[in-house]
Amino acid sequence: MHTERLQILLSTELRARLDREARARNTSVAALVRHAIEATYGSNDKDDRAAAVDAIRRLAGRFLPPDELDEVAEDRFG
Amino acid sequence: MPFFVDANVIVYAATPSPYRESCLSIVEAVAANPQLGVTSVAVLEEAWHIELSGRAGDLSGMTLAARTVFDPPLPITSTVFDRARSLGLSDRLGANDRIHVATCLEAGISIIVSADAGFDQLPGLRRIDPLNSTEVQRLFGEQQ
Repeated sequence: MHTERLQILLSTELRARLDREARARNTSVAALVRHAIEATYGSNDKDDRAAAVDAIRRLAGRFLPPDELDEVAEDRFG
Repeated sequence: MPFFVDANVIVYAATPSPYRESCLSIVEAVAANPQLGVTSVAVLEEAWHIELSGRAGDLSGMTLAARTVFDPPLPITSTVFDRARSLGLSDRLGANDRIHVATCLEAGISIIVSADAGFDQLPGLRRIDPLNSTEVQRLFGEQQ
C-alpha cells in the first residue's frame, strides 16, 4: 500500500530518461523510482532481519574447515 | 565504509563449530545496523550452492535468511567482472573469490571478514578472521 506522497525535483534529462525507461518496460515512473529505492536501500525492516538471524541460529550444519568449504563453493565451476 | 562478509561467515553462523558465535555476532550486528556490513549477490549464490549441495549438512533456509539480513546485496556488474578478470592475482584464488575482491575494490571496501586465508595479503584489501575476536570487536567499534 503506497500512502506517502514524495515530491522531488529532477533534471529535464533524468526525467526524460525515466519516461523512456518506463515506456520500454511498460511500467510507470513511480514504479521505477520505488524499485530503485528498494534496490539501493533494501526493503526488509529490523524485525525481518532479526527473524532471519533467529532462523540462521536454529540451523545446525555440518562443519567443514575453510579450505574444504571453499572447495565445495568452487566445485560448481567444474 | 562497511566491511564485506564472505560466504563462510554465513555458513559458519549456521553451523556448530568454533566459528559459530563469532560469525553469528557478525550477522547479528549487520541485522541490527545494516550500515556495518554488506555482502554481494555472488556471496549469496555461493552460500546457496553450499546449502543445495548438502555437503555442509542441512542448511535449509540459510540463504533466504542471509538475503533478508544483507539487504540489498551488492550487485555483480560487468565492471566488477572486468575488474576481477584484470586483477592478476595468484592461482590460489578461484573465480568467485576474485569476484569478491573486485566487488570490494569497486565499492571502496577495504575489509573482508572471512575464514579463508586465501584473502590474505591482497593489495587494497585486509582480511579479518572471524576467530579474531579482538579484531571483530574493533571492527564493530570502527564502523559505528
